[in-house]
Amino acid sequence: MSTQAALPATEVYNDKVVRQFTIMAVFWGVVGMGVGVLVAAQLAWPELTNGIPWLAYGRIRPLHTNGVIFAFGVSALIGTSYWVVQRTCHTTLFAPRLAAFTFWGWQLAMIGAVITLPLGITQSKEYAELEWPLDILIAVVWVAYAIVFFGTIAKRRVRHIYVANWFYGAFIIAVALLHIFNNLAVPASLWKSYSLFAGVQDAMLQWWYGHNAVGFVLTTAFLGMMYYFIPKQVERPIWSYRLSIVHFWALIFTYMWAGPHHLHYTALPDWVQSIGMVFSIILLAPSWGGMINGIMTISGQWHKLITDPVLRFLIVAVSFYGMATFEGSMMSIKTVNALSHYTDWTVGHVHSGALGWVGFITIGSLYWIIPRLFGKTRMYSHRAIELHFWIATIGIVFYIASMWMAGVMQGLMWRSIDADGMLAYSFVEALAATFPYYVVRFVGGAMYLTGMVLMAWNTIMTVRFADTDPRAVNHPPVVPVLQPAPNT
Amino acid sequence: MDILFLLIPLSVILVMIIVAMLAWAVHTEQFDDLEHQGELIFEEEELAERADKLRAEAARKQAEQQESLSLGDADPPPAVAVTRVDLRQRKVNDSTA
Repeated sequence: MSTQAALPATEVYNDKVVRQFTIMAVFWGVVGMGVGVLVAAQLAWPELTNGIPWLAYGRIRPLHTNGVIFAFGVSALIGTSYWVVQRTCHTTLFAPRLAAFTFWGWQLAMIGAVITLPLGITQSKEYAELEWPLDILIAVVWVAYAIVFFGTIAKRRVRHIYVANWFYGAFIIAVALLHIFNNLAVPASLWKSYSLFAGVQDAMLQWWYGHNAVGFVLTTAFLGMMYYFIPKQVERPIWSYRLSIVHFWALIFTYMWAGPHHLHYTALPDWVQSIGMVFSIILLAPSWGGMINGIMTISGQWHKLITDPVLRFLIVAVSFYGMATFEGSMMSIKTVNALSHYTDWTVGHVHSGALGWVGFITIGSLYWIIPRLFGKTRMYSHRAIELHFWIATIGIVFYIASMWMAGVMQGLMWRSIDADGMLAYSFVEALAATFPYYVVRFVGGAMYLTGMVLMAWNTIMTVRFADTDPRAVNHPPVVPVLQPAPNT
Repeated sequence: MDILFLLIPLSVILVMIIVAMLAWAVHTEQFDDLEHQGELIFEEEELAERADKLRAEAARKQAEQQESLSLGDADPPPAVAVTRVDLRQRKVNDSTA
């Protein structure tokens, strides 16, 4: 009899892999944004790195984009998704060794990017520059990630799947599909391959990939982050759970065909361009569903914004999300695109999404998760977070305002014609006129990077010196044991 | 536009997968009670604390029991194994109350 009264096996959350991804996210954030500032400086002062081939603009610009999207953003996404899926499913990670493999595999792929891109090894596909050996590594890691994530959901102890998991799950499935099809290529040697498709066919596939990467990595996945960390930081549930479900399904049903708006006025058939435009405008509705839901979660708690810089990061992120999705829908309209395409307006738009939405939602979430991951009561320096917020916010304003002005100016100069019907300005004249805006953009980017360096310092200090949480006596945190839900 | 012969079927397959997932979610009553699910993320800490307490209690009881057995007590107290919290059950009770 007494032998049956055994203690329930103590299950512990697998937070080691979350810690690893979180630390690397901060590290890659500094690296990726640092390269971005260098690239911005090169645009203002092109002779800056003359004669150093591996620092040429064409080689390190992809290093910047890969560094911030895949190394910084995706590391933060995988890490937080492992935290969220364990907590909301009341279970530990499925296949912990595979989870460890996703960490080392992903970091290896990113180091591969840091080495190959400056060497000029590239597929020349935007946001898919990495050559085929690294593509295969990424595909393998991604399948492992999917197994860990969906395996954890499958062994959950609660019946309901929390909404954040739907967003993370859609991101995982979509990225697998996009990555595999856009990287179909015939290897010619170890570091050279040729795409299976050519010309406009390849361009269509590339932007089907490219915009869906925006849709499923930079939107859907970070919405998953938003749906867990904003309620946690505000300490109240999401404003409308119903809306979160509705806009999730609306978003994933309508996203896939926005890509052609990247190819307006090209060899792509006109009707395909129009379809891309229509779908891009439709997207505004589900996008704003998420924005409204995030903002409304703090309604009645606005006073918290005064004292809580972490919440401010999260809410400003959602505001930028609303602005960037509105702007994106508008820019996909052909007549607007005729002015904006190929100008720095596009760069400004991308960065209001990247710095404002993706960067801030990640930074806010990381500030929430870091003390908890290391058993601390809080971040080491509250004032450093405060400073980070203001430096980064003002940096974003410098960045996007200068790029908006530069973009509209470029568009107007390129299209203006004189009385004889000749182009009024040469390309170089427009470029020279852009110089002051490039300098302002460099300053804005440098400010944003400074904030990120501050965060890295704060993270190190938190891990080493911040007060230990007395409640973390049962650190590592124990999984609450629930009875498995019937019928599952 | 040969590429559309790849992309359109891909989209159709994807939409069918999404429809199947939606049907599964609706069928398994994922969306039947959307009033309380948003609060679930706040219960994990509370539940963890409760589970800890119950575990500690069970350990204490077991230790006592073993002590009494080693002392040759003829009638050991019944073992306590109630350490599980049924979240779903509690939810049902809450909503009917």
